[in-house]
Amino acid sequence: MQDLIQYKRLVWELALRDIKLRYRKPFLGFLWMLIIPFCTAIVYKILFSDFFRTSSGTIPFFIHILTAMLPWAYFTSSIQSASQSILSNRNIINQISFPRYLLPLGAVLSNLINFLPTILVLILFLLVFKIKLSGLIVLLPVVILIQTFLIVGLSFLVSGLQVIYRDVEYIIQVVLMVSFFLTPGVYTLEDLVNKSSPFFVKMYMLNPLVGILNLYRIVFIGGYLSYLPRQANLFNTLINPVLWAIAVLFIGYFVFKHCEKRFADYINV
Amino acid sequence: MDKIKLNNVGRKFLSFIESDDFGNDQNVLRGMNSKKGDFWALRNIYMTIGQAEVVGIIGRNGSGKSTLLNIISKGLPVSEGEIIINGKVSALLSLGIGFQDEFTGKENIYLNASLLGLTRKEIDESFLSILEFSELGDFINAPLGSYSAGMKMRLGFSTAIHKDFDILVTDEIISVGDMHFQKKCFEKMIDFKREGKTIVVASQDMGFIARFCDRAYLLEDGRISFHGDPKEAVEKYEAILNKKKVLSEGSRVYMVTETKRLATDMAEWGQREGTKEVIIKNIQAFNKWGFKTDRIKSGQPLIVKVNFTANEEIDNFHFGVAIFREDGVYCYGPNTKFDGLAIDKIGKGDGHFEIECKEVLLMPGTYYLAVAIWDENETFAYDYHKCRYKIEIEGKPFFGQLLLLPSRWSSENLSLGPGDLDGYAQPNLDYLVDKYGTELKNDCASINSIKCLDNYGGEDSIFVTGKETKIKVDFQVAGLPIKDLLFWVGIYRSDGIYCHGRVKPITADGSNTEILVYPKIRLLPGGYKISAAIWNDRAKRFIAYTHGLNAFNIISDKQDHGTIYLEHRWKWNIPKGGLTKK
Repeated sequence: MQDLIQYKRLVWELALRDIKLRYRKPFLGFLWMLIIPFCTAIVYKILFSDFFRTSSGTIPFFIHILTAMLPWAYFTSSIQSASQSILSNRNIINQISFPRYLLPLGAVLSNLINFLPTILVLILFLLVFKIKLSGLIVLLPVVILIQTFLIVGLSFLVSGLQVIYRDVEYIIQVVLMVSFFLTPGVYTLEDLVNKSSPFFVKMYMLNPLVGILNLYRIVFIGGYLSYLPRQANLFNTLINPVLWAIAVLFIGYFVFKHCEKRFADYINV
Repeated sequence: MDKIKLNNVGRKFLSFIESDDFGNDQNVLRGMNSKKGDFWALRNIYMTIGQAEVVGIIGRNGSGKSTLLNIISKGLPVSEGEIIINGKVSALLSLGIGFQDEFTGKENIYLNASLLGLTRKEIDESFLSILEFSELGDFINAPLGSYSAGMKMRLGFSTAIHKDFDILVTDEIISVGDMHFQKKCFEKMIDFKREGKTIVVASQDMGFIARFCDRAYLLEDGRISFHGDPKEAVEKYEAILNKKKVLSEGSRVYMVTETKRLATDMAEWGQREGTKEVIIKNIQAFNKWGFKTDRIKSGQPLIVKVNFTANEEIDNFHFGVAIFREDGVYCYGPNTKFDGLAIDKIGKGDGHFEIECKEVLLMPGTYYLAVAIWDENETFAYDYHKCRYKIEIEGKPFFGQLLLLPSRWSSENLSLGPGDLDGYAQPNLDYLVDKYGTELKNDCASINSIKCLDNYGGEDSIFVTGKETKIKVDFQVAGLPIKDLLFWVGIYRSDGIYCHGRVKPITADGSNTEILVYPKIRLLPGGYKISAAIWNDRAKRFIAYTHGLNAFNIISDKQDHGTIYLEHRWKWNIPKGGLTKK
């Protein structure tokens, strides 16, 4: 961890490089980082709300989906770009010595930078839809921090393994797709609880992403706490994601360090 | 103080070799099918580089230069050994690490410099100086993609040299660019040398190495084959280049066809001789767990460690170890010279060397070790202990056989041999003792032919140590109770020492063909004879044999003495009488 302070400049440069590479050339530039998630949200709104008549309780469906969509986009794009972070920087890796874990860290940081402006626009939409902002919004940084820790841990895990086992990127695609529908993104948690067996609900609640998503809605939408079914208690909304984040961070770092020794053998072939 | 110290450093890589068995398309669909094995790019590297030394590394392509530089610059972890670096290292191995074509020159300087480990402040401070050295002018704000190759290179070099360092590790890159810039780079190197920086440089420019370096290391196949005066190193290197040329024209030219395999005078066993500049204090043997012992199991690893004291400095020497069976048969005798290792001169003081054999493929029995420190050409010994140390190899012995060679019948799996034959009866080879060079056949049983085949199945009589060798025997039995019959094939040294054999029950009446396969025959160069026989276990006698009538030869690029080649490696720790600086 000592070298993290020493190399903070490098992580920043790496993240900045990713951002610049992404938005330098397009005419709309960084506006794309706003357009894409909102377009996706509009498509989901039309598809699920207007077409399949999925209920979103008393909250407008567009807001319901947007509060899930943005953290979710942060999550998936981080994991995906982190998984390639070692391989796409192979020319750097064999040449100079620096802690290799800075590469996935830089990838996550660039996605975090991408994520923050979208939150401002989300708040704008909340105002447009005349939704009372929750006072808990001051805790938003804490929620982002919990999610980021979880992402960093997973990024260490997948970026290290991807170098040696190239199947990982495909596994990630499948797992991310499945876990999107295992979180209350398009449907409401209440619907799920009403329609599923108590055992399944218990298992479902152990998914840290469910807790994190609930936390985001709690800090954004005023009075959201009262909408939550009683199955979403303090443990699986707050404590469970925190425990997951810490555990995954340690496991991921350990696995990464283990894989790192073998990078030189696999990285160029 | 030593700036760089490498202690028995080695680096191995996985080698991926796609099999040729299937078409490429199929490989893609099936995914992973590359065979993995270890490939040692560097091994047994000992190096000491002091403050303000300029050291050159030379060697052919693929000799391990880049791996070595990457290891010193800590871009690559070592697989074994240790590396000690005192001071900040700057590696100029490839220019413009992480350069992005979309970025301007200025942005690339910041990115590249932070990858090299500069802080923001340092980059701000040296930015103008970088710009000036690179001579890019206004282009600094143009995207890198619009630069010429030479401009990119100049930008990379200018950035890299602005890092503060004590040790510079670099390779050919200084010899690119136009004449003007080359001269500038060279002057910069001279400046560094004058400032007292330590420089390690790999190059193919022999003039540069001879003029610029204080010392040079010559690498050959991942080992240091010479080190010392750069001019001498360059000469040695040019000699290698010529030698390799001859080798590639006729690959068997430099093969050894005969090795020393006869026992030393057994009357002298237990004695020692030598000029005593260096004295061998004691010899220790260790088993695979590192316990000191004089007993190991057959086929297990053995480490022999030799402690010595040098009373005077000596140069031009090599270490040798040999193992003999108690009746005087020379089993194996490697030395550091045969393995092409160049070792620093020994200064006054205590030191040790050790050899580790991965598998001691010798039959159980009593063996004796001889160790020596020889002069360069083995004309005299500094100290030579003749078979003063006894080693017991434990296990089940098998009829005077000397070796355990990994082998198999073509229908079976690989194994070491006798150990797996416990279930079978064994022919009593004593019956054959005085029958050498004769055969016995009759209508009921006969050995019809013995052929040696190479790995393509063609008949051959010359094989190479470490390559596949097959012995194909046609024989027939008629009208005998085959459950009592055993078939045996044995290899003898041309002087009649029984090396290795295998037994197999005969399963069919009539004509039979058996193929004995040695996937990597470990025998050392020289002539060998083949015998085959059919043993009737009920009558306890041979009913047919041909004994020592067929021959084959082994040649090798290994010069080691003895009968069997055992995989081994050396380690040493020798006293230094001060740094060997010219």
